[in-house]
Amino acid sequence: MTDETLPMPQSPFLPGTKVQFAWDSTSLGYLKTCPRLYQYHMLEGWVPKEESVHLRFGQEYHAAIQDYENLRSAGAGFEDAVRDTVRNLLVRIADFDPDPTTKAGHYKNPRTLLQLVVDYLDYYKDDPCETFILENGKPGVELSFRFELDWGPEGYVAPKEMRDAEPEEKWNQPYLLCGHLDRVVRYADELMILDHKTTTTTPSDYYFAGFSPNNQMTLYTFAGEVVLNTVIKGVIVEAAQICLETPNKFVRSPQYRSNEVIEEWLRDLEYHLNAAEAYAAANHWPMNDTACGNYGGCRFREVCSKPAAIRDRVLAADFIQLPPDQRWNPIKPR
Amino acid sequence: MSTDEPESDLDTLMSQDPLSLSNQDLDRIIAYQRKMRGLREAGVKVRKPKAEPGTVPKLDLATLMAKPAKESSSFKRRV
Repeated sequence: MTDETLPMPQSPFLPGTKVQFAWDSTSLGYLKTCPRLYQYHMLEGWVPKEESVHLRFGQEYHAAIQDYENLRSAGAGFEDAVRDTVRNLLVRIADFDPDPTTKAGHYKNPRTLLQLVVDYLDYYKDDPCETFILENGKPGVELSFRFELDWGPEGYVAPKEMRDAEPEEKWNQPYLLCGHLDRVVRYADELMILDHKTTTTTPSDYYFAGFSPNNQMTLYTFAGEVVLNTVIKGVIVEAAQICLETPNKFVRSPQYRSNEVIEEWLRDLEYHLNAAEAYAAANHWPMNDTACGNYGGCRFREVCSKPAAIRDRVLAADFIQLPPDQRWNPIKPR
Repeated sequence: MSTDEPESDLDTLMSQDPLSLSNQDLDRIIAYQRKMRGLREAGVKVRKPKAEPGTVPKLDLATLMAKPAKESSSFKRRV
């Protein structure tokens, strides 16, 4: 089911609780990696000062590719589509001004973004992956999905005023899985999800090995099958390496998912969500101190390495706490 | 379409209101990106041009390397 057919709640949490009922791969990934990471980011809204640069760069890169796909499927020629994509990009990023003295801003700024987009469009001009056209005639790009699971948080009692005012089915909230599929493609007679990644590291075999098993790729395969009601073989991870002195590099790697893998992922999901409910009931999200070194080190490593009594001060000094309406929200449309 | 766009011209183009850019302006911007890619593929190191002499404050290495004057400590560690 897509966003067009579902009413849009405001919060992914059950009213008056810290029990999250709407999950996407990002929030689920935080929970699986480390409940304390989930607490700091999802519940309390702490973000490193540099995170906005990565997020904005990725969003604009995705938006540019989506623009291009829409223009091409509407009949625009290659050069015209590239020109309009660049025009729209420049309009959108007019206010994007990251600090070039930071590593994030050095690699991810308007110039590197523009170069990356032009390089990408030229590189995939004759793309062997064909964009899947939906039944409504639109290209299968940036598809938001949101669908219910057949179970929900247990032991949750809705606030009395809600129970009095709403029919019972309204407050028996099932879990929702949400997210955005970058592109649905037909490749070698098979339907797959294509996911864009930007990275400053080399997209080697080691890089791609990180996507199997992988929470996001399994969820996206499952979601693709639910949303499109057809067989999806897996996800093509498409890495764009941002280089400053050598040409930007683009590499794709198919990550297949069998039904057995998806079923196992769903079984495990129930345990993970049960654990999330238990953490919320206890109002405690334990630290997984074996995950602190993952992917170059957790953003909150410095915080967790300090005594508990002073962590709030460290957070306040080195991080920004977003207001609730700006925090990561799986049900917020892109 | 020119591919010999000097970087300073590109800076000028990119600093303009994007809505005011003509198709020709956009083609020049795209051509510049393609030229830069070509240079990188050819192994030419692409860097931003150096600033004009006199526009960047000079660093005084002698001052930077000098040891700071010894200040009297306001407290001493007890042994």
